[in-house]
Amino acid sequence: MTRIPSSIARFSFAVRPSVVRLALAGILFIPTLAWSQVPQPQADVAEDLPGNSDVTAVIDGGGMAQLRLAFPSITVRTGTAADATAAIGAFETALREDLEASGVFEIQGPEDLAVLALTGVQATDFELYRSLTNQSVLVAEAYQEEDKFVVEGRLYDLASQQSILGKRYRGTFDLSRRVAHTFSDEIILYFTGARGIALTSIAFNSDRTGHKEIYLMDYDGENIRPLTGHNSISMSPAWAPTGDNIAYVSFFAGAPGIYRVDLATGAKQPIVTDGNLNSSPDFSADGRKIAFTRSIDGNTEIFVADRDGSNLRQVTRSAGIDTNPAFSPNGTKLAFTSSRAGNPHIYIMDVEGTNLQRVTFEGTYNDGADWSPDGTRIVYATRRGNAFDIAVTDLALLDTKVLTTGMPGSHESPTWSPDGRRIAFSTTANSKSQIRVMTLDTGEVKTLASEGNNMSPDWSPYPPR
Amino acid sequence: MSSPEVLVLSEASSGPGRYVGLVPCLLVLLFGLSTGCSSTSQLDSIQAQLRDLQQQSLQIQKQTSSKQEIADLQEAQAARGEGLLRAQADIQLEMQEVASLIQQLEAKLEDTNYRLAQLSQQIAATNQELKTSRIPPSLGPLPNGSANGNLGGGIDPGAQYQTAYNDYLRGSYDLAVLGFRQYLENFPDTDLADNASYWIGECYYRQRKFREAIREFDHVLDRYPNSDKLASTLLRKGYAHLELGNQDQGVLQLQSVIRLYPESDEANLSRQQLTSLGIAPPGR
Repeated sequence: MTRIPSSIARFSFAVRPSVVRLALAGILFIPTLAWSQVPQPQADVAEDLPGNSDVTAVIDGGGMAQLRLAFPSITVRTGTAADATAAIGAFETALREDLEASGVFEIQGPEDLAVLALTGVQATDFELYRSLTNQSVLVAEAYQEEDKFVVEGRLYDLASQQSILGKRYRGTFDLSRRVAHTFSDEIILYFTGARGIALTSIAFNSDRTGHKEIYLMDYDGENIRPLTGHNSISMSPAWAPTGDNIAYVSFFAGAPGIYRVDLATGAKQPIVTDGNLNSSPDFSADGRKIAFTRSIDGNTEIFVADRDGSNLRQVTRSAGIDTNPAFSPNGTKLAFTSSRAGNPHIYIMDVEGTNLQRVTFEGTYNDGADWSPDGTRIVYATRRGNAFDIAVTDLALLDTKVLTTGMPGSHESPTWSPDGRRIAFSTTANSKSQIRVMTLDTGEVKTLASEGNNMSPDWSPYPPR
Repeated sequence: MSSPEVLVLSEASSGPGRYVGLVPCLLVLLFGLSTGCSSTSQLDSIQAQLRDLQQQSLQIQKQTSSKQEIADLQEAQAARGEGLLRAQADIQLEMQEVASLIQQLEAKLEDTNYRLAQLSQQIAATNQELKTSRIPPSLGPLPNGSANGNLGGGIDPGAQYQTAYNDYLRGSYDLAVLGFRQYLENFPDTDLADNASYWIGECYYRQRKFREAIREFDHVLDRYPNSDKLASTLLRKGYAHLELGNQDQGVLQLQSVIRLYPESDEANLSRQQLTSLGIAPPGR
């Protein structure tokens, strides 16, 4: 339990060294682009392009090393109608944003590459890209096929001039962003060995209609859509790790109950509505159980029930307040907030109640823990002075690092992205709450939703492949 | 308690209203006397009646006094009850204060443990550095027994524990066992050594290797008699025995948890487990 020797307080993500990936030529597959929630249309074709070599792009371990990628403008074939051209433009914008946001690349776009006198001869042009220290180039061509657009994208290793990844996508015009996210995730997977998160989404709570409702948005803050319309107070959305349900708290029936919405059908089911003051639900790893907080006789304790509300079991018993449970990713542990030691702090214990351990010792109020996807760290809100900051604690040594030091406002409700490289949270400043995303490698912060007050983000798991 | 008679007397002097009922009787008597027909027999009869009346009046006085007594008793009882309640409330308050004091102490203890663990890791790290710096670089390969080059870079005990514990958290139990064993080999005396040993047992338990788990838990109990993991160790050892079908052994361990650490969460879990087995847990 040593106090942050800086050498071991690692928050950078380690890029897997040399991932060898043979793009399997000619194998056609149709990924399920629609994986959750209401009608998410899908690109009807995604396939590998033939002719990729087994040349491997190597990113050395060492975390921050970025791959230098040239990404010239996408070539649009002549004869492409205006609406198809617009869709291709949206695709290109989204793809650039995704690759940039991934933090994996240092990208040279059309403006950077404008200094080059390109010839149209591939071998010559690749040498030119390379002269600007680029290691790879992403070349894409797009065209129209009836009411759909088609993009063929290819990654080349500039040293060997070999194609290392080739993909063809076809989809209707309204799917341009989604197709871009899909392609981006493939590229990230190729280079890092870990899936990109461009197809993930974030559930949150917003009062933009005047009532607090649950919403979903894409990971980049686009495509915001409501999940509830109870015209009451609905809050605390929590994804099932299986990606098919979101639990939430709503007051629409009077006393606060816990409900879930089935994302495929939009149907809403009560989970627990009896008893007093049910709050802060969290799904277990297999999506079958739910942990939540219930107030009994003025004391707040944590309960676990099956997701239909049966098999209710009390798992904490203390004189203090126990609240905000969170299942660990492999389902064996629960993190929660307890005031049993005076001030609220984060504790972890086995789901069976064994191995109770206090894990936060700094700050006057620690709350709202979320586990890192690998289950070795927790992120939570910690009060330092008058406002809350976001902090990460390594559970092995209890090293703690505050992420939002010096950032104006009060920061709460952190949630980890499924690749473990980002944290979304809500910041309240000047009486307005907004959702923000921090990239852990760089500390870069981006604000996502802006209409009304937006709070309690919960990042989805990876969509099923 | 004073005798009823005394009470009656004091009541009689202070409460003439109680005898109002007798007055008309006496008046009737006197009226009868003054209106003639005063034969001896009549007089006797009147005297007898008067005695009766006196007796009745005494009776009534007695009844009144016992009623009064009950009222007084009730009053005293109520006062005493109130006093008891007040005392009980005081005790409850004190209990609460003690409980919160205990919690505060526990929190302080946790804090101290946390800082102690940090210090002990730092000491281990410093020792490690010292060991490494004592070996002149010119000597080349390290002599036998110095963990075949492991010391070369000066292993950080924190990092090694962290790696092993992270493997445990991830559910990579084989790796975690290896890591914790390595840690124990290198740092058998840090404040986290007992934890490392306990987590090895825990890893085996999660893998349902209950015999190995019990062996490891025994190691914790033998090797680290002052460990803060003893309650957990006994509890898990009990669970492991129950999983193996050794009910007697299992029950014994759970009872030990309750006897040795009656206020712990582990004791509560033991009580629940024993109750579910249909065995009355030992009293506090």
